[in-house]
This record gives sequence, structure tokens and C-alpha cells, in this order.
Amino acid sequence: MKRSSRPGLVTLLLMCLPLFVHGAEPLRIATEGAYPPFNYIDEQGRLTGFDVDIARALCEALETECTFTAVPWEELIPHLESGDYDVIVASMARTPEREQRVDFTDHYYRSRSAFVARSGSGLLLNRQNLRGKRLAASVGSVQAEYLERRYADIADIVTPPTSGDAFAMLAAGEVDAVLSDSLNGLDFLDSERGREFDFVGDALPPEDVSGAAHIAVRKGEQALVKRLNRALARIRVEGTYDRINHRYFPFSIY
Amino acid sequence: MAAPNHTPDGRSADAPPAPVQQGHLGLVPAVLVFGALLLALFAGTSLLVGKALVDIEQLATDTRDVLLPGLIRHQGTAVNIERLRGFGEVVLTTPDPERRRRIRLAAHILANDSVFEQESRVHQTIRLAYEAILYVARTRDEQEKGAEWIANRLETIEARIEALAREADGEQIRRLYHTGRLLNGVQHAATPLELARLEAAFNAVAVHLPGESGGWREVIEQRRAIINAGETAEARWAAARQTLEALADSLSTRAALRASDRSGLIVKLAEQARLVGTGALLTLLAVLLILALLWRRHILLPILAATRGLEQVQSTHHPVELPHVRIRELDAINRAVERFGQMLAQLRDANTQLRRLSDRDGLTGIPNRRRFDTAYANLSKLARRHSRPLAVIMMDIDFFKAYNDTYGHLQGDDCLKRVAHAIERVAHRTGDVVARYGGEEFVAVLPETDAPGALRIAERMQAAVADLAIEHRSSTVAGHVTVSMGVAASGPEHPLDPEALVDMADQALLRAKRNGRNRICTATDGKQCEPERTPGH
Repeated sequence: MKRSSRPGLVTLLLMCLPLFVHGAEPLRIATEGAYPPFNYIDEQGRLTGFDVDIARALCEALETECTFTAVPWEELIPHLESGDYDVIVASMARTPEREQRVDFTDHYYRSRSAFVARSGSGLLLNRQNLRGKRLAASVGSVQAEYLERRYADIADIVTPPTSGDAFAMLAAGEVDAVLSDSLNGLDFLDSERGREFDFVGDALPPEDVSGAAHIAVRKGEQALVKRLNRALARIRVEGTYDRINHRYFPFSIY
Repeated sequence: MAAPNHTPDGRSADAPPAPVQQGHLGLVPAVLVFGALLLALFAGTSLLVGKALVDIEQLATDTRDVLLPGLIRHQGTAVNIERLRGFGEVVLTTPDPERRRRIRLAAHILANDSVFEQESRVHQTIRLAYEAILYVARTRDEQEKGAEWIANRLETIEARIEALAREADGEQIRRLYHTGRLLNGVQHAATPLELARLEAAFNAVAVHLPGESGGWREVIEQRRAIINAGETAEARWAAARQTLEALADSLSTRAALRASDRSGLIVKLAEQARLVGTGALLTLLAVLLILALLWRRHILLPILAATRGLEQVQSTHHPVELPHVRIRELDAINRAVERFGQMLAQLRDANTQLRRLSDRDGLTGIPNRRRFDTAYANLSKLARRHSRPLAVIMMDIDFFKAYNDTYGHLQGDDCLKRVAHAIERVAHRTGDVVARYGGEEFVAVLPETDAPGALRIAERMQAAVADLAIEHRSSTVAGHVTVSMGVAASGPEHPLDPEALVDMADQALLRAKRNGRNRICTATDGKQCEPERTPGH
């Protein structure tokens, strides 16, 4: 047999074929994995949620494969910057500080932040009433930043790693109220632990605490931003977005 | 620059310049002008069509980037309005407090998020509808608490009735249990009317139960409160639901209108573009048609006419007249062809002149010897080849030298002329050639003429000369000028060698002279010939 052990030229070319196919490199996507119902790990240990489903739909629209990793909230941007992945889909709000480090796409849903406390606790959202109270929000979130900014001087601000931790503290009575996105809060309130709790006060104005969720990419990747925006517009028009929306929420959240 | 003494086309500056025709167009300027016109038309058309297409593109882009997202957002709003309506219905009707709470929370978030709606009236309407839902939820909660209180109270009342019944008599026992049943009925009274009836019945019995019944009336009051609260809540929700439905209707109508307007606009623009395009195409075709006609009239036809004129000139050697043409260069061609024609005609005329001169006798103007020789050679050959009759008449003016001596050479010349013309007039048929053979000698060759015919012609000639009656006192045969003639003819009756006819006619002439002059002798005559003629015969 005269066959050479080296790969033939044709084989080499075939191996290079994936490179020639547009967008065949998988898009690496990161999310937190601790923010139900947007991104969380289910009982089978799978990363799932509204953010994850939207991201999958976008990859389909872009005709590209994608992979997902769960990363703690505070490490999301640093690992993006160092190139461990390409995209963050984690219900991230657009703030001036974050804008300096990453580029954002258009929003893919909007929601408002609200306080959650025990039903009938009579908690009122004024400086008088909140004096001395313990307030929680997940670390590094815009809600945490808001609490620090507004009430740090009169109340105890606690910032556990995830919103789940914050609600656990609330359920255990360790804090008096949690400030979180209302859809994330609804997830807690609908659960068994949350039966004795309710929203208190008015939802925060979107100007005070950003209510829009964006997708983040490395700074300078404007081409990717454009592609993602176009894909987002496409899944909106096709109805894919609405399908995913109504899988998780009983109303439209765009 | 041309040389100082010459105009640019090389002619001497001293020659008069060619007259400039008015309104002549150069070919190159004409082509440039039409080309520029065509280009302008093209550019204008492209601009118009391009503008229409740009408008369409802008509209399509706006539809994709503004209208379509707007319609989708509107769809989201419509869904939310419908969901909120559903939430309200559930909160109003569900007996499950857990479900009620969950739906209320969802409605709460929906209403909060409506702040993101583009129109504030949508936000306001949704918020107010949520207030109604909240009211209904709270009412239901209150109602449940009230019902629970009633249930508890009834337990206490029943225990009391048991206790009282042990001490009472038959009638009182019956009344007590009746009251108990009435109060149980109150627990489930659904309408104010039903409650009123029960209340009336209760009052009727209660008069017989002093002391206790006051406290038991509270159950009825509580039930009334529950019923009223329910009716208020239902009314409040009905109003809110109506506002939601009206809002949904107006939004959907508006969305439909916007979409239909947009599509109408696109259709209109597309039609505009189509019209402009078609109009431009038709204009272009018309212009091309006009250009083609102009081309045909001012370039093609003139060239063809010039070509035909040239052919005509070459074939006929006649001058030709060509029309004036607008295009300068083509007009120059036409004028050149005309000049060529004129030149050829002049040449032809000169040629004819020359030939005439070379063929004619200078004095008399009739053909000369040379001409006769050529004609006779041809005719005799033809006659011989085709066996046709041919005749030759030779004649000589009698005593001509004496005439000259008597009357002078000038008169002699005049006599020659008159005789020549006279005999030429006789032999005037086509093909006949009458020529001056020598000084006073004439000859005629007559094709298609046999001997008798030739003789007749000779006699006529003789008579013509006699009729001239030119005085000749030196003639010994008559007082006027006469001729002697020799005739030779070849024909079917007298086959002679056509090429020898001249000799034979000459011989005959000699015989005529010897036999006395003023007579005709034929080649076939013997020594005798025709007698002399005298004037008057």
C-alpha cells in the first residue's frame, strides 16, 4: 500500500472548510446563572432561562453555533475583556461605568426595579421610615448601586453575591427588604418561600435605576453589535421573541 | 496656419471665395449637438427615475426600521392590554386566593412596565385598570375575611341556640331553630333582595327572642356589606374593562390605518416610478425616431442622391442637379458631383464638336471624304454580310472649273454649297451619307437601296440641282449648273460586290461624262445612259 501517512491536500482543505463557512466559529456566551427567571441552573443542572433562550434564538438568526458558560456576576466583564468569551447575555443594564469597558447592543427587554418585603410589614419608602432598616441587593447590580447612593447614610446596605442570596436573607428575616428587578422579584414571590411577601411602594422610575437589559460585547466590536442588533430585530419580526417571552412571562416585556 | 496668400483650403486668396450658403451645419457640430441633447435627455430621465427610486428606497427603509418595529411594539401593547383584561377577570372570579395573589402581582408588574409605552394615555389607562384590579383583589380579600367571620359567628350562634333550646318550650324551640336556619341562609345570600327577604323573616321571628337577636343581626349586616362590596367591585371592574377594550380598539384601528397608508404610499411611489420610467422610455424612443428621421433626411438620403447622381453622370455624361443639403460637408459633395457632371457634359460636347469637325467638310458642312470612307466601309461590310441592298451614287458638277473661271472662286464656293445642300436634302434617310468626295465631286451611299431605288434618288438629285437653276453661261450642255451621275447598286436582282460599288459608280460617272454630261449612268447600263434633262421636264 502506497498510501502516505500524511494527510492529503484534499483532507487538509476539508479540515479548513469550517473556516470558510460564514460564522462557523461558535459564539461564546456568558451569563450569571443565578438570576431567575432570566438565567439560572435548573434541577438537571442545565443553564436555562429567558436570557439563555433569547441568546440561542439570536445565534440561530446569526446562523452560528454558540456555547454557554455561567460566570459570577462580578467576573462577567473582566473575563469578557480578557477574551474568555465573546458575549454577555445576563440582563445587564447599561451604565456609564460599564460603557467605558464594553459595547452594548440595543435593549432586549425592559423592566422596573421594586422593593420586596413581608406583606403587611407597613414598610414605607421614605427616608424617615427606612432609617435603621436593613436593605439588600445583589452585589455589583444597579440596584445595589442605587441603595448605596440613596440610603447608605441611614440604612444598612447588604450586597450578597446573588439576588437569590438576598431573597434567602429576606425570607430568613435577616433583612427587611430586597431591591431587585420586579420580574426577578416575581419569581421569588411566586415561590413557596415568597408567599408571605409582596411588592412594597411604587416601582422605581427607570431613570433612577435602569430598567433596560442589553447584551455586552468587547469594546470595539462594532460589527458584532450590528449583527446582534439585526438578529434581534429579526427574531422580533419573526415572532420567535414573542414565543420565548410568553414561555416565561404572562405579558410582553420588550 | 495656411500660407499667406492662400485660404485654408489651399485655393489662392485672389480667387473669389465660394458663396457661403445660409443655414449650413457642420457634420461634427451637428453630431455633437444631438449627442449633447440625447445625453441631457438621458440625464434628466435618470434623475427623475433615480429620485423616484430613492424615494421608494427611503420609504422601504423607513418601513423596515420605523414602521415595522412600531407595529410590533403596538402588537406587544395589544397583547398586554388583553392580558390585563384577562387578569382582571380572573381576579374577579377566581375563588382561589393564591391564584388571585399571583395574578395580582403579575398585573402589578404589567401596569408598572406600561411606563415604557410610547403613549402616556396607554400608560394611564393601564394604570387605572390596574387600580381597579387591585381594588377588586382587596375587596375579594375583605369579602373572604367577612365570610370567615360570619362562619365563625354562626358556630357561636348555633351553640347558643342549642343551649337556649334545652330550656325552652315547644314553640320557642321551633322559633329558635327557624332563626338558626334563617341565619344559615344569610351566609349564602347572593343578592340584596334575597338578603332582604331573609332579614324580614328574621325580624318576624326575632320579636319573640328578646335579648339575643340583637347580636345575631350583625351576621346580616356583615353579609350585606359583603354583597355591596362585591357589587361595587364588579362595577368598578366593568368600567375598567370597558376602557381597556376601547383602548385596544383604537390602537388596532390606528395600526391598521398606518400600515394601509404606508402600503398605499409605496404603491403610489412605485407607480410614479413606473410612469416616469415609461414616459422616459417613450420620450427616448420618440427622440431616437426623430434622430433616425433626421439622419435619414440630412445624411443618408443626401449621400444616396449624391451616389446616384454620380452614377447618372458617369453613364449619361449629362449634368445633374442635386438638392441643397443642410450638412455642409454633404452639400460640398453634392456641389462637387454637379461640377463633375458639368465637366463631363462639357467634355462630351467638346468631343462631339471635335468629331463633327473631323467628319465634316469645312466649306459645305456635309460629311467629308473621310467620313464617307468610314461609313462606306461599314455599310458595305454589313451589306455583304447580310446580303442587303446597297447603292452608291457618284456625281460631279459639270464644267465647274469653267464656272470658277467665269464667276470667281467665291461664287464657285457658293455653288458648291448650294449643290451639296440640295443633294443632301434628297438623301435624308437615316443611314444615308452624302459626302463631298473631291473638289466638285460628291458621293452618296444609300443602304437598303436597290438599283431602281438608287436610280430614282439619283434622278431626284439631278432634278434638285436643276431646280437650283444656278446660271452657268460657260456650260455647253445647259444654261445652268448640271451634274453628271454614276449609280452602282447591289441587290438581289443585281448582285454585285458591295465593296466594289464605289469603283463601279465611278466608272458609271465616267461613262456619263463621256456620253455628254448632265446624265445618269448606272453600272449595269451599257454604253448608253439616261439622256440629259432640261429644266421644265
